[in-house]
Amino acid sequence: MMFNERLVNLLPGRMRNQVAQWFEAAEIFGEMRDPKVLAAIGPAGVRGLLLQRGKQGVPTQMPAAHQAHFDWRYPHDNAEMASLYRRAKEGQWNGDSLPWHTDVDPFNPEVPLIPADFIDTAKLASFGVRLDAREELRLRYSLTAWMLSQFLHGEQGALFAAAQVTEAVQFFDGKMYGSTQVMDEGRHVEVFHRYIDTKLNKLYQINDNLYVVIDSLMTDGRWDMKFLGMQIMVEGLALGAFGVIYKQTKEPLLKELLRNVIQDEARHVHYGVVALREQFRDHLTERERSEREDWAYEVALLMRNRFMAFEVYDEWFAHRLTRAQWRELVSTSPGMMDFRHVMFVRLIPNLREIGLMSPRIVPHYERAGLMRYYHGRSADQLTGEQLLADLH
Amino acid sequence: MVKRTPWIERAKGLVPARWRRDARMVLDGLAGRPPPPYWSTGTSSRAEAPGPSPLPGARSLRVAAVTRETPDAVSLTLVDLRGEAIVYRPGQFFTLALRLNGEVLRRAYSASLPMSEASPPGSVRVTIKRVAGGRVSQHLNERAGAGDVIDVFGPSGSFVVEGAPATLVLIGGGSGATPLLAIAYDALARLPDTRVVFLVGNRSTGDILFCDELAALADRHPGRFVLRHVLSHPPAEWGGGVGMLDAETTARELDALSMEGPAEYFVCGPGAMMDAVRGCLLGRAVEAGNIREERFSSPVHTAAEQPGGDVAVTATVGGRSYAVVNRAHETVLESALRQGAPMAFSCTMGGCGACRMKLREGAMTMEEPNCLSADERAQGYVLTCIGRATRACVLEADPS
Ligand SMILES: Cc1cc2nc3c(=O)[nH]c(=O)nc-3n(C[C@H](O)[C@H](O)[C@H](O)COP(=O)(O)OP(=O)(O)OC[C@H]3O[C@@H](n4cnc5c(N)ncnc54)[C@H](O)[C@@H]3O)c2cc1C
Ligand code: FES
Ligand SMILES: [Fe+2]
Ligand SMILES: [Fe+2]
Repeated sequence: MMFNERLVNLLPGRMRNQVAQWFEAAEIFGEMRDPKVLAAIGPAGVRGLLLQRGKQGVPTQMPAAHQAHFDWRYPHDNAEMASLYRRAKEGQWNGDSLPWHTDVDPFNPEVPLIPADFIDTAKLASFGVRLDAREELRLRYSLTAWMLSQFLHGEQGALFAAAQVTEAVQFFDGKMYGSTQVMDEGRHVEVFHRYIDTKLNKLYQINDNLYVVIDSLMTDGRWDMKFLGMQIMVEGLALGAFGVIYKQTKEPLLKELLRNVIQDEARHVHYGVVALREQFRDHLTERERSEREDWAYEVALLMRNRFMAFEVYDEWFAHRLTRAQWRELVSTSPGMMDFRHVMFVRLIPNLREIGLMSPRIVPHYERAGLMRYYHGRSADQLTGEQLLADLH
Repeated sequence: MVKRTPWIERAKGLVPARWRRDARMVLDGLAGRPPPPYWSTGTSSRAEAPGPSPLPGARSLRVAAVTRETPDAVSLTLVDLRGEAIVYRPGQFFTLALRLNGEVLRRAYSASLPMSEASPPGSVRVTIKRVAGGRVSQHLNERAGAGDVIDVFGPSGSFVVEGAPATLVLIGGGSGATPLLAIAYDALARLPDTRVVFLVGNRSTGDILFCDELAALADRHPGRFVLRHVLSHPPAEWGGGVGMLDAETTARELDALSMEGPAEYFVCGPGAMMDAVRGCLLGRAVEAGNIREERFSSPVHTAAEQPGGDVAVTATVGGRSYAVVNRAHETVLESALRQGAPMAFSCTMGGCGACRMKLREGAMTMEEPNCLSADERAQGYVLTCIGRATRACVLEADPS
């Protein structure tokens, strides 16, 4: 790390950030212990981190290699999924019925999108960057737009992954349920996009690390990897992240939007837990199970360590701070810390529940500071209402 | 001379576009030209296209039925989108806000049936008479269709019967018959000791609104309901009254209806007719307190001056203060509702006074004419629904 930094500093200024970025990426992959995991994530990593496919300004094509599983006998094969399907039908709502007439003024300090301590301006000043009150508001607006943009990109991934998973899943009750999730995710894309488009007017590009996760699971042919990636990892992280913003925002439209989305997501994660618990316990060899355990861990780390709003850095501070300084700022600012931690509140108990928290991996999570969430309730023990109540 | 393509151009043709884009990303990154971190948005139309969100404070009603009353008038039966009952008193009106050519036009239309007659139950029927060159009335007469969703405010207005007068005299011209019909239905059903006299003025037989309904009411209540049609252009054999509802004709018609006991008068119609009838009634020693009027004429509105930018407004409502920004393109009421202040309002078009507040500081322009009396203006009252702040304002909810 030290060596890299010194090397980078020898480069001409304009190259510096790019090369630093590549070193960071190389480091992530260098640290992966399981060659199978490296093989599963590596190609997506090159596409996302080196070639930045998500940021080329053109649509991205991702080949899919899964099997569509048909069943002409329509068995009723999973009672829990059938009950989720019934609940999902009753829980449908219309994105148009949110209070869209609400006037969102991102710069009104009386109705803040996110709290003032979200980014530590004292630390920023210690790096020699001083912001006036107006600029601080603009920075917080940028961060909010960044987070919501990543939510939106995640929802697009969820929409297509839900469709793939619906094709591939072996339970017919799961397919019925899956059809509602496709609708749910479509609605989430609708409402997040409408909020960003008509209220914030600022759409950030997809974060490279989020791109890697989505690319990796969309192109993986194994249905349970798609499930694990989307229903457990991305959705689980999103559920935590939505919760932080839901709890902290004073903007009534955003709050109402998230309240509705969170209730849908609670079902989605529940479905992931139900589908995978049995699969991982009864139908995989230990080798296969531990590969998934490692994959989940690497993805968790990727999001824990790298999901750092570098798009906002590029916009605001590329010439005023080093990437390392930005990373320090983001890792120590109370709001961002909260955001990046609470993402895991929902995820870790679910990994435990589906059997991806065996003693061999626990010390690694411990080192990453994520074991404190281990004893939380998993998604199958939580309804959407309880989840919201927990947040108050 | 043969023109030769440089080798690099030829090579490009062999490499898929996708790879060239990948290579460009890497090279641009090294050259210090990273991809743009974000796009500015707000140009996509998906969100706006179908069903725009309701105006602040409005209720979305669906047109359940369209009934042609006369060649120049149409009735719309409106139901709540969520199935809730629409509650109002006979004589009250609703404000329909229509988006035409990117502009929101608000017009008042009175309920033409009381709640007890509404079909289906919980709905409201409004009747719109075409006005020559009128934007909303023409639109509704020509275009309104079942399934349309309309933003509606109200009910508003105090053109309602209080108590149980011995005689109720309803005098209406043209579309003025609308609230009077609702009042007549209601009084006949609810007040068994009240006699109802209905004097209706129109141009010709084809213009008479609710002709059959009125005849049916007369049949049903032979002793208690007196119906008298007056036409300015009557057909050859016509048994009713003749003339415009001016002072003279009105006096003649009232003389013919030997009325005993005290009466309350409800008058509704075009401005000129209303002035004439009022003069006539006062001349006949009717107390001003017994004359109730609803003016349909919405004379040419002078829009309030549009201030240049955002203006700060502090509104005290229910003992709490709300800091609001009055946006340049909005009324104070619209801005305040959007920003979460629990403002009082009803018609949203300066006609009912529900949004009246006291202006403690600052300045506001208002559309004219409106329902504020000279007295109220002198005391510093304003109507937030048609007001725009020109300087920072401090407003206080009406204690009365
Ligand atoms: C309290 C209240 C209740 C009302 N109830 C009804 C009702 O039940 N049924 C109904 O049909 N109308 C009713 N009106 C009238 C209605 O609100 C509109 O004013 C009318 O439909 C004309 O609107 P417009 O957009 O078509 O005309 P505009 O485009 O606003 O005006 C076009 C032209 O017509 C003139 N004009 C406007 N209104 C009238 C009028 N009423 N008579 C003659 N000329 C006019 C204008 O001065 C202008 O020159 C009511 C009005 C009020 C204030
Ligand atoms: S709301 Fe009726 S006058 Fe303002
Ligand atoms: Fe979603
Ligand atoms: Fe989801």
